[in-house]
Amino acid sequence: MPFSKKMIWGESGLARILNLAPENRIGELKLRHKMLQTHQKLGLITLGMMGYQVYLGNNIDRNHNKSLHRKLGYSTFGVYMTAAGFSVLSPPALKYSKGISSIKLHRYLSYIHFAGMLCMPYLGYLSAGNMDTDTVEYHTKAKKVHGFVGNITFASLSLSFLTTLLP
Amino acid sequence: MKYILILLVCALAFPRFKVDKAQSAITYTGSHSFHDWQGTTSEIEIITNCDSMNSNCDATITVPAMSFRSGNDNRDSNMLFYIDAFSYPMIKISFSHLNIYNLLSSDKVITTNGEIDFHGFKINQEIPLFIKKETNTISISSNFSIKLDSFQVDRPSLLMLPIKNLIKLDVTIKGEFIP
Repeated sequence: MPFSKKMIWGESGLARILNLAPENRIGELKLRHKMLQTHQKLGLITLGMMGYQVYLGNNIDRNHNKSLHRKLGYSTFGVYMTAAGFSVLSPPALKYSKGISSIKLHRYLSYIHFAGMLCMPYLGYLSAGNMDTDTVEYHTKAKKVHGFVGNITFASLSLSFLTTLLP
Repeated sequence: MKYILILLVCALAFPRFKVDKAQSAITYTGSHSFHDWQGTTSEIEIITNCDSMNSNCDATITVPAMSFRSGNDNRDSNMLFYIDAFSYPMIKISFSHLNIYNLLSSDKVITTNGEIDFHGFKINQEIPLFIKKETNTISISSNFSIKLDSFQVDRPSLLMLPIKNLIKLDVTIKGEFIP
């Protein structure tokens, strides 16, 4: 069982301590099913939003669409974290086996896009020049890093989506 | 008398066909718009009163639903959820009035009526069987399909698209009759 699942759903996990766990394993599986179905739907929405966000970000100077990029950025972040939450917080599967599989690739890629997603709002904030002072300016470098991290995050999220199509 | 009864119960309870699990497998193939996948198990038990000379005997092939592996833990768990594996942990195929002697002497696939017990529903279906006697072993093979809706199994969906209703099954069993 992955560490994150143990923390919440292990024998002395948070869900047990706080008495939030369903009564039995069948209840847990029902909950897991609902949560992962929601994760799939929100994941698709996030991918669409992030795709448009990358387009806006790459054309930000030309189209003067900074405000839309900022608003969509926060929305994407919110939807993404909700989708991630539905997966991370869901009860564990019935069995976990060794070896590589499409779902494990999906999970490994999530480490990349999750890390990227955590950085993006702050990098965006820096890119907008909000932390610049008369003597120090961050936004030029931050813009480059923001774009780079954004592209990696989008690429890993897209790959992560594609792994779900694998057998 | 007590011991005879115990012996009788044991004789009825224990299988008279020993499955060679290393060489036996039941594989299902499911289909989704994006891909096909397979789940396999070798945890096969056969309970039967048949031997190689029988012309009228019964046999039941039993497989624990939990034992199927598709190489994707998430999918396996989901499958167990959809087929209510906690309530119906075993999947069985039963054959009555088998003519083993005929089956063994035929070079062709013989279609036999079998009862599939799955997800709490028992459905009779024509199942093709090919049974061959090798040196010391009996080899059983079969290919057939089942429809999920016949057993009232809801179809799981991936990215909002449900899997196809038809599940193909491929059975290869090797073993020997226990005298």
